[in-house]
Amino acid sequence: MLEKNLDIVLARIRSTLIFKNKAYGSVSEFKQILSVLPATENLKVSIDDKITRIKTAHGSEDELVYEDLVGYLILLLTLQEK
Amino acid sequence: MSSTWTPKEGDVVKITQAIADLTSNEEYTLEEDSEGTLFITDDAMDRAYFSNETVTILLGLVKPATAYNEFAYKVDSILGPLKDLLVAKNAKYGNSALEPVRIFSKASAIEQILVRLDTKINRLSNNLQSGDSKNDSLDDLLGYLVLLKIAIKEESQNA
Repeated sequence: MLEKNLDIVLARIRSTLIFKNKAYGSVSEFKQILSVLPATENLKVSIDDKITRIKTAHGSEDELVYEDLVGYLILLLTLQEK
Repeated sequence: MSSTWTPKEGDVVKITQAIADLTSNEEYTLEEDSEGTLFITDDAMDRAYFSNETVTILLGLVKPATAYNEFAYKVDSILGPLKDLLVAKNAKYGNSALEPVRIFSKASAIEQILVRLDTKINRLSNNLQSGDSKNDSLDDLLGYLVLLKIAIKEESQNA
């Protein structure tokens, strides 16, 4: 049961990441325009935003916020992989 | 008269033809009473109300007095919803842009906003290149620019 649910959730996150990568542009091709900080900082800020969102919602948060959070963490790992 | 113009308090209007005691081609400033009803005051200080019954007729008889007012309306129509968006997001995200939690990112509030702006500019650029003219990224970009102004102001006040 756990393995089945794991496959479902991971497949959904993978699919969302690939879709957003095409729709919003690849995080690995992120262009610094105003900020001097590296692309990883962009992901770290987004991760902090999602954590704040969960904290602020006090249990009434959208379930998607967890998937977004996991997604940003995975993207951070993919950048560190390079 | 712009078809999207909605009279509001402070707008200067010109009556295009005489009505009641109001003189044609005179300029009047719209005022608002405590119940939110618009009215104009003539020289004798009589109130001419924009009542529900006459509002349609009156709207056909008034126009913004100058091009500035029409431009001001256009600016307000962007800034009003932008303010609502910022206030709603501030409540939803717990003021995280101006007071970041700094769990993963240790950068200052201003640097974090600059990073977010870069994210939005990248996204907007990508959207435009792919022919997607969604306004969401543009609204977010404007919002973060306002937040940047606030953060810079707060930093200079605290310096």
